Amino acid sequence: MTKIGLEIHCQLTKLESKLFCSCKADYRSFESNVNICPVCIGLPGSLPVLNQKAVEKAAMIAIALSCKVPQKIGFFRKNYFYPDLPKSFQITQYNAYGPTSIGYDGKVLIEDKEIKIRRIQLEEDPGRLVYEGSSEKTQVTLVDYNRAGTPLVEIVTEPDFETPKQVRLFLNLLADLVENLGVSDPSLEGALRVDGNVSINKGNKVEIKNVGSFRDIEKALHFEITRQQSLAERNIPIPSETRHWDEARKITVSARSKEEEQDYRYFPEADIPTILIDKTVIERLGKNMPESIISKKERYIKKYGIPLQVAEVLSSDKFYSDLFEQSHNEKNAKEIANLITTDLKGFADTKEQREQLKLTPKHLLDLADAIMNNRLTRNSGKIALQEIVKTGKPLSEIISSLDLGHVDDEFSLVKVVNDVFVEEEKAVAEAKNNPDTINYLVGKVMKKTKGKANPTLTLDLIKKKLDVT
Amino acid sequence: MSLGISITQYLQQVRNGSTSAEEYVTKTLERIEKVEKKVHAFISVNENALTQAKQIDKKLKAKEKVGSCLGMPVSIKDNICTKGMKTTCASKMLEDFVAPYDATVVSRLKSHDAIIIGKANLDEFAMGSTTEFSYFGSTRNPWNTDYVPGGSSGGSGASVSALECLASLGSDTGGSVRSPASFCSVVGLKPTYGMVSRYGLVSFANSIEQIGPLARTVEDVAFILNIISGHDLHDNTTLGNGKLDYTKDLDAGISGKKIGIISEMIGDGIDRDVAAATNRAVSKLQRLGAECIPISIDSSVHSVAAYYTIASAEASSNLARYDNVRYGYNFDLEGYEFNAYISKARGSFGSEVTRRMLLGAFVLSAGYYGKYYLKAQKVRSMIKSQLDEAFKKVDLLIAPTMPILPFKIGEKIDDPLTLYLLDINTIIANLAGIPAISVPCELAHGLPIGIQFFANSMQEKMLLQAAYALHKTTNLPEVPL
Amino acid sequence: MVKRQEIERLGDLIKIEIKNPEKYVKQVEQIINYFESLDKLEVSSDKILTQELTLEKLREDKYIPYDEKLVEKLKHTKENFVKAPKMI
Repeated sequence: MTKIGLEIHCQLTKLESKLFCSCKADYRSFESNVNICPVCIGLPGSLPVLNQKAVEKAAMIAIALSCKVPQKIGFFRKNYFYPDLPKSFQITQYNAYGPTSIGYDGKVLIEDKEIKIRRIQLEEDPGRLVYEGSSEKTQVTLVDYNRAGTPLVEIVTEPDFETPKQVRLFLNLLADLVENLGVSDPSLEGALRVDGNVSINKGNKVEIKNVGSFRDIEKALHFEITRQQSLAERNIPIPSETRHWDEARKITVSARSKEEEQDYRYFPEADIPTILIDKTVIERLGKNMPESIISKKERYIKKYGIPLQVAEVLSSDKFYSDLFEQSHNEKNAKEIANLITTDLKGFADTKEQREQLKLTPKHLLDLADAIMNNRLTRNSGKIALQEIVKTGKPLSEIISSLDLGHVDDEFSLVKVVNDVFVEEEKAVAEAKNNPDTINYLVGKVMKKTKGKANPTLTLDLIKKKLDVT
Repeated sequence: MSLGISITQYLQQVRNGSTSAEEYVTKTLERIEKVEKKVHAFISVNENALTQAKQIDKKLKAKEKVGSCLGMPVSIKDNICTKGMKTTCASKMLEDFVAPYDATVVSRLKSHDAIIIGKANLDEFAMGSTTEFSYFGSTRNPWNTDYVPGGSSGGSGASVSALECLASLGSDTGGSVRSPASFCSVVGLKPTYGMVSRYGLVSFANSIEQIGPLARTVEDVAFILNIISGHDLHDNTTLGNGKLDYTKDLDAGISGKKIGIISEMIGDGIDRDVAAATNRAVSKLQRLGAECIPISIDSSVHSVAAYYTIASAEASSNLARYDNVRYGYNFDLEGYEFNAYISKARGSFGSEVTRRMLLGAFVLSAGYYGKYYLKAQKVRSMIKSQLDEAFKKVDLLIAPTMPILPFKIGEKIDDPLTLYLLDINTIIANLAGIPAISVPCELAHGLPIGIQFFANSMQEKMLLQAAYALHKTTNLPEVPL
Repeated sequence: MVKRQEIERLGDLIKIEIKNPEKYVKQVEQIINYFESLDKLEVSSDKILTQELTLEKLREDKYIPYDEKLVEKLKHTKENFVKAPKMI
């Protein structure tokens, strides 16, 4: 019986400032040690000043994960010494003396399994260590405090996961959730970090740290479960320890053996008073939260009749679901959803492509309109879409410059049909008895007209010519 | 022109032209030059003080706007950050530290055109009651230089007392403003917790400490409180005070006020001279129209144990950042592993600081939190409740500031617990967060005795009025130095 | 009973190299024994003093760059990194 628990750190990258000072929350664009101030580098006499939005955004995550949010929250100090920790303590939250963290007792459903969320806490990120040259030879660590004080939400689950796949599904859900809430951009490097713990057959718990990406956590967990099972089969005891994921060798390795229980001497942080969060504030946050992914999906299906697959893809992608919201109406919702998920996502899926996207909601509206009113074939529509993504030019301009308009007039179409009948003698003979071959002939006409032929009209003409009904 | 004037008198004299900032600051610097070898109140003196004084005089002459302090020289305890000047906390660990920013209280004083004349000596990291634990050597009591000046803000008390400045900012965690005020015969106030910003005060016990002014008169202290108090965006623990003017109605008197004499603080164990002086002060208060009754605050006997448990715990955490990596003293890290380097560097803390940090680590270590730290916090809460109850019966409380007279330097330095117990009269104000003030009362054998008033939270106005009323009846000789 | 080992353990916890732990043994023990007086004390309530602040009064989420080049004021810099001994 495998039990897996997770400890996830999520940076609130969508905030403007750090948790306890006004330096920038997203430190990634700065040269080393530029995004710092007396508070986040812990100069003598400096004091932390709490960021209101950080508390609100953390509360939103707690609400989205069905956690209880207490009306009084407090902060604690976790005391230890490390080069990246400027005050030699981290200001964090701690529930051992009562539930004072921003969320606790939550839950999430993964594949019908209930995963309990033990707690959610708000805390600060330490700085970053850089090693000069090879880390074995060098005696010196270089420290960059740009990240010190960045707001983090730590999410701790109960060991309710039974398989690494459930973990992966949960992490994907969490990534979508925080992006959808507008609290974090999980695609940023280091924005979402995961540690896990694994035990089998009610045995000792092994912590797995230093896992670089979400893909790796599934691998690491698989490896660790296998490792523990093979030890158990040979009746070798599994020690309770911390292991690191070795990226290169794709194995977990025992961390340095002096892993005695660290004594963090937790006690309340007196520089931050107890924060009172009124019940009405929590209600307001819940009400004003962006619509959840599940709710969006259900709405797409029920209200617009969008197929399940399409609804799933669209609802879990914040960028494109926002685009959908801005461009759809009752009539064209299905068409636009289709355009986005089938074609557009293919043309613009990476972060840079989306950022550089020249397409606007009006483009989608016009495009859907043209297709639904038969002024453009679906095929032509795809071509037009690609051009819009590249150039951003209005649809009408693209239709004329690329000559994408329907070939609607019977006269020109008849000529093409006649040409095809001449070229495809064999098929024509078959087509009299085989409806599939009729479609083949339609296809040939479409090809000749570069997809512009009106398919319904083409079919009629071909059938007439074959003298078939 | 006399140096021994009050701030009020200084401001008058500058405004009416009988003195100038340059003249007063020049005389002050000469005085410092003359007495420092005997008093050693300063760790550093501001080389630009005279230049700054001249600039203020220039602005005054040109009828430009000048801040209300008109160039008055103020000393700042060396655990309060002053931009561009060293802030050493009287420790080797911060021997070379120059703060890149001003504490809020310092920038407020500067924006009112006060002049920072120097950084005042203290017990290392404000841990001590005699200033003997300074890395840079003891400060001496200007009333008798063989005796301690009190602590930890000994340099603040001595510099004001020895006429080396008009006022000082100290910090009070367990009595550290009031003890030197009492021993050096000056006025010293510990405001309500949250009344004055701690931004820039190097933390020792952050749930307890407050910055407080020392000066030669109560009016001067009120004047400074006006400038330094009030809400600060840089400190989440500050309360607003509605920008009260503490100098207004200072002379309202105490007629009709009820004052409780804390019985536990005038019992056995206090010096006979101190007891007698206290009784005479009580009589004076009665003649001024107050009703004085004995009141028991029996939880106060546990205040020292509760305080040192909490303060040590906080100190062990607040001082953990001093690892000599980002700032500190000269000690090359070449060839050291991290833990070895910082442990060796931190071996330069003095013995009192080390002792308190060991105690702090002990009371917070795994398994002991409930027994010591949490219990001490509950006792603290109990003390506050008792005081709240007392303030339903009386307006103010009174007790001698120190249970004994100033003693000789070196006399008690080897007995930490005895030193801790000297705080027995002052600590309840820190634990409960209420304001308290010490005013000079009498001299005995040439050594100063101070009397202490307490009021409930945010009641500084009433507190200052009582202190003012009593101090006005006091007529003490000038400092013999 | 506070022993030399305890002083050494505490010294290691707060990363202070204590050259003569015996010096502290007696004094630390004496003070901890003094703290024991609190243990026997009965308190009528479990209340603890705390300051409180409502969510609305907290700092606005705004980026304000610090106007000084701080790293130049710190020790041990090398290409704007802070140099620290390596953690093994």
